[in-house]
Amino acid sequence: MPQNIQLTREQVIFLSFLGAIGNIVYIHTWIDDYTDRAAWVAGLLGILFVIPFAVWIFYLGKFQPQSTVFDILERGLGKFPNMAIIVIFILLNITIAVAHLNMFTQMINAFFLRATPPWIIMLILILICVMFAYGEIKVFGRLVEILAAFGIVNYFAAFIFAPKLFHIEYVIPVFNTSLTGFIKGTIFMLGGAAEVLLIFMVIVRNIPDSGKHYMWVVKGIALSSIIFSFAIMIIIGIMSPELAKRIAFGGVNAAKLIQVGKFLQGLEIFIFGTYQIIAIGKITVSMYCAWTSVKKIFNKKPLLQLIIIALMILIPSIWLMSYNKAYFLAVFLASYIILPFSVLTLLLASVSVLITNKRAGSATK
Amino acid sequence: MMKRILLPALLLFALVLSGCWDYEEYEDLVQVYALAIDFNKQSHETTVTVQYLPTTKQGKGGAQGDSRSQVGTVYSATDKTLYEALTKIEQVTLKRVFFGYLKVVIVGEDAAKYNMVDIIELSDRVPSLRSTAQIVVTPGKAEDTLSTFNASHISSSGEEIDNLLTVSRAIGSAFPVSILDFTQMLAVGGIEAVAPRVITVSKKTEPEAKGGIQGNTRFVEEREGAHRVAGMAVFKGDKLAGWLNDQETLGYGWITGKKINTFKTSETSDETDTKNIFYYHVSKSRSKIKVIMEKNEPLFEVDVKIVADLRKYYSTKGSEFLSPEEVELIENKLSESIRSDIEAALVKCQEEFKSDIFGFGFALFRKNPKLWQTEYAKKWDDVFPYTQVYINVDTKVINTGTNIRKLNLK
Repeated sequence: MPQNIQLTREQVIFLSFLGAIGNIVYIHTWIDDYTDRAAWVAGLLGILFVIPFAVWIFYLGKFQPQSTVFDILERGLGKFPNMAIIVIFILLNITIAVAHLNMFTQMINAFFLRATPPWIIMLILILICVMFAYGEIKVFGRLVEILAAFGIVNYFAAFIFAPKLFHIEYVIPVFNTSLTGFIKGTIFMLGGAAEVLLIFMVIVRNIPDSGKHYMWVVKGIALSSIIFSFAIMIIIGIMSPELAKRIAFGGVNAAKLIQVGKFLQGLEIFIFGTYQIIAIGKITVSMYCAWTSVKKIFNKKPLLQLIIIALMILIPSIWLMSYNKAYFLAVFLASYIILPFSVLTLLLASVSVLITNKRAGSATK
Repeated sequence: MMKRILLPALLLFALVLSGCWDYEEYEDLVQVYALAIDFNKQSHETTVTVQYLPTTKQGKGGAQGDSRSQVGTVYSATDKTLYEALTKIEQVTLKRVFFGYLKVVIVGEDAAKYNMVDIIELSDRVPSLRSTAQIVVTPGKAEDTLSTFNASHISSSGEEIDNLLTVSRAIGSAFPVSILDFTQMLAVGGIEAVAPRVITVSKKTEPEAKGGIQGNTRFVEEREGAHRVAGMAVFKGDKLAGWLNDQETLGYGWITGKKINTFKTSETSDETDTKNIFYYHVSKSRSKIKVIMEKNEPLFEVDVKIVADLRKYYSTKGSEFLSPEEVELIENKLSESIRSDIEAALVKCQEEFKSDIFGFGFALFRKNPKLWQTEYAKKWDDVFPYTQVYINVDTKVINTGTNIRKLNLK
């Protein structure tokens, strides 16, 4: 059996970072009605709460190294139940990518390229993502390192002058909401950040000795939770919780207000860079996950499969062509689909490991 | 091999394509510098006046055009809605109106009374318009304010108002409010909105613009005059409630802890003898609003701390040496004067406007969010006019200018 390409510690950390921050960069405003000023705390905790599930995947990887979660499922539960789950997994990844592609394209359209037809922007992004995904995990792992580093640099470049506009009175007191509202918001953020679990279900096979290296993913998710919640706090501090809950493009809207004297008006171009990196990273990851899973079902003509996956993202995106519709689609996925699907898959994979181990035990006897 | 070539080629092709649609020359846009909005409450029509800096393409010799063309062109259009009026302006200028460089939005009195939400919506939703642009309210018509230019300045009226706002903040005659600040004050509970007032002093007597009028769109000829930024417009909800005069504006500034750097006299409203008033230069000011719960009722304590220098002592009386005891008297006089400003602002807002522009409600929310949300948020409009506010002014006169003795006449 050929050895899978192994990812490095840094690549896993940055993949976790990019993976957790997906559609939540747009839909985090959904929780503001429940959490109010504590939105950033809910964001912090919500993302951190993904860690046990991610560690669960890494732990499963220990039993069948160099295997995806779906390989584990197939061994224990058989081909057809596994195929049903894979189909849902592929559709889920495509839907996540469609929502993200739409929201990002509409952001470019609203702020920067007003006259450019959105489908052109979508096509370009999809082509870039196809190129990166086709480079397989080794290329993509390296790319993610660079993307994440650029994303973080851009993020700090945009917000470095934020303290001048920051109103501490908009942040403190932090908890002006009910406990149930806060829990609801935290669970929503957990559901949104659970997108990262879909990635780990596939790339767990590329992580050397995953059972031992669970701290890689802990670090990556912790990094994303800090950076993301800090961004929400800055947005609230600049705009007030009342206005922050209305905005469509959180960081860009906030960075647009930052001025450096009379010379520099708005630093949105930097934070836009971060959004772009997240979009490219996220759509590529979703495309890669879907493609890898399709390859498991039809093991021939991989490029054709990738192009079909790309079209399956591009065509619905063009058909949807709405920020608002994509927002509500992403909210729906984060509220009801991603986390329940991930937990169900992990439960089944755990059962599958037990069954496989039992079979192995019986065989030895 | 073909695949490897095809993919980057496709990518390059797509990248090149995307550049075409959004290509626009700087000169082909109306770079709006200032925007004035009026509302006619009878006809329910909105008049939009834009001032833009001409961006004509230079000729071979680098012709700059006449001097007035450098300070802005003013167009005005009236229609049912703000956007329809803007479209009319585009029909005249034959260029797309671009708000990316907008600095000032001037709101006419009637627009401030009846149409404020529409104006905020425009600024809040148009991506190119920056919410950091300043908002000012003018008694009367905003169109007249924008079409008034100061002949002694080389800048446009919009730019002049923008500069005046910067100065007014320091001297405490008005406090600049950006569109973002204004929107926050409209949205955040326990605080009402304010905006600086701009007054126009016109040199000429004719009130109507002399420019050619066709339908409801006109090129507005600018008239000579001057602007003064002084006082604040007070809102109750989204409607203009009234104006604060100079003293009340200072009072508002002391309460809300604005950084004021201005000259101040010891004069209070009941003082008549101007010979014996002191002059000061306030160099530092800050304040804190404290909430005290007494018998389940919120009371407010405003602690104002001032640092100042003395600029004029008694003309005819007073002690020979400006001793520490005398400085204490000087400080007390300044404290009294500042207290008088604060009281004037409080009385006006509590009794006349019933509008909490100071953010006492917001301070109560911060002190006890639950109490605010369950009890006071809904009834704050009724409670605020009767709320008790204690004022503590702590003044420190750190020097008496260049002398420590009074001037003795021979």
